[in-house]
Amino acid sequence: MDCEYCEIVRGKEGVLKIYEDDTVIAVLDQKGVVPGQVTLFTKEHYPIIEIVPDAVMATMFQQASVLTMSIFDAFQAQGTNALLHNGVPAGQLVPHVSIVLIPRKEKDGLDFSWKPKPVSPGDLEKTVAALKNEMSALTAPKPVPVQSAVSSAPPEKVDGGKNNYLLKQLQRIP
Amino acid sequence: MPEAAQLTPAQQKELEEKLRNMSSEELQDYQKQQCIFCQIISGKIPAHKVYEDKTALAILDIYPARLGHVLVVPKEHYGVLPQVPAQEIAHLFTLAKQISHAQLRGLRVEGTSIFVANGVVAGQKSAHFVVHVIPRATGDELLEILPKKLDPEKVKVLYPRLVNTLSRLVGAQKEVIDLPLSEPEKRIATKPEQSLEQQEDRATDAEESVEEEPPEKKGGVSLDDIARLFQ
Repeated sequence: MDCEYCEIVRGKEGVLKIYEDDTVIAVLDQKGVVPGQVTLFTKEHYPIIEIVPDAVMATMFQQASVLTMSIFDAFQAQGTNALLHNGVPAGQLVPHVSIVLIPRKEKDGLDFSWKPKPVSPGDLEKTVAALKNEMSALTAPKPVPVQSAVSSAPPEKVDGGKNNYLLKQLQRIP
Repeated sequence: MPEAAQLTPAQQKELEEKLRNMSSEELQDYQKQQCIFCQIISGKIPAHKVYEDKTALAILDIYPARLGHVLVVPKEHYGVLPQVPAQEIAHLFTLAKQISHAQLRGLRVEGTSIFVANGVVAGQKSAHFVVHVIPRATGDELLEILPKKLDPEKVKVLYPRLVNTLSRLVGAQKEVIDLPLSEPEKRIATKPEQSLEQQEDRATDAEESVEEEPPEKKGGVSLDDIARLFQ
């Protein structure tokens, strides 16, 4: 069983390819929300963006930018949208990372606006804290693995693992 | 997001006159003063910052599509995606990927969406370029792009136009004459003399049509852009 985009990468026929390089392919969609819609996807199969390498993410969106300009010019659009749905619950149609580029015009019948959800200051505070925490962990410089004959175990946690004899000693002090 | 207050017609006219007489630098400064995001970045307006580094900032949207909705913005003021330099694009979207990851882990959401709106018609609400990273759930009816079969005749017409525009933009000399039914490469005709002429014609056409279009792709700021903010 192969995914739709992987089939295109392998050379499926009847597809309107508009751009291709080592990393990404872009096609003019024959199914979509409006004629002129373009989908750009990675040649490598990544189901979600979290496992896409930074360099590939960069290339994807840099090409999306060039394609955005092309769509805008070629179709005399008044605006454009770029959409990436990450995960089936988000509306990801094919489990293979892709960006959808849509030319927009006044009264084109499309509407991506949303009604703002009411949020309390408390909600916002909690959310900021949760996200900040995760971002610190995600953007922390990765520790360089130390070649040691003793053990390859990860650095001990400050909150005390079984082997943390220093903490144990401290705890014994009355 | 609410932008500037409503002006009377007289005030509007005065403003337009003032803008017309500004140098491009002054215009840029003026726009920065009016831009909510530039003010947040310079610390004049508070915001719920989730992440910040030298060139980018991520804040919570206080009018969110869903709680946890993050706005990733470049610290430099750009209008739309094609105006953002390649390096910054790389930075902004790798950051967006990390924000998405943070949302999945920290907020336990089922999925995320990255959304960009270039131009008012596309739903761009502020003049400053924004990448939306939105937590998603099944059935939340956000950003729906359910595909329907498109009129093949319409798509047929658009294909060569798009390929030729793209070629022109990246400086290639190839030109597509016909709609490919299989591999596009085989159908591309390379006719050096003709294609140069035709490219020039197309370039002139493009120039003429540029005046009527909103100048998204130009590097500078237009009066129309600014005027639109006050509507």
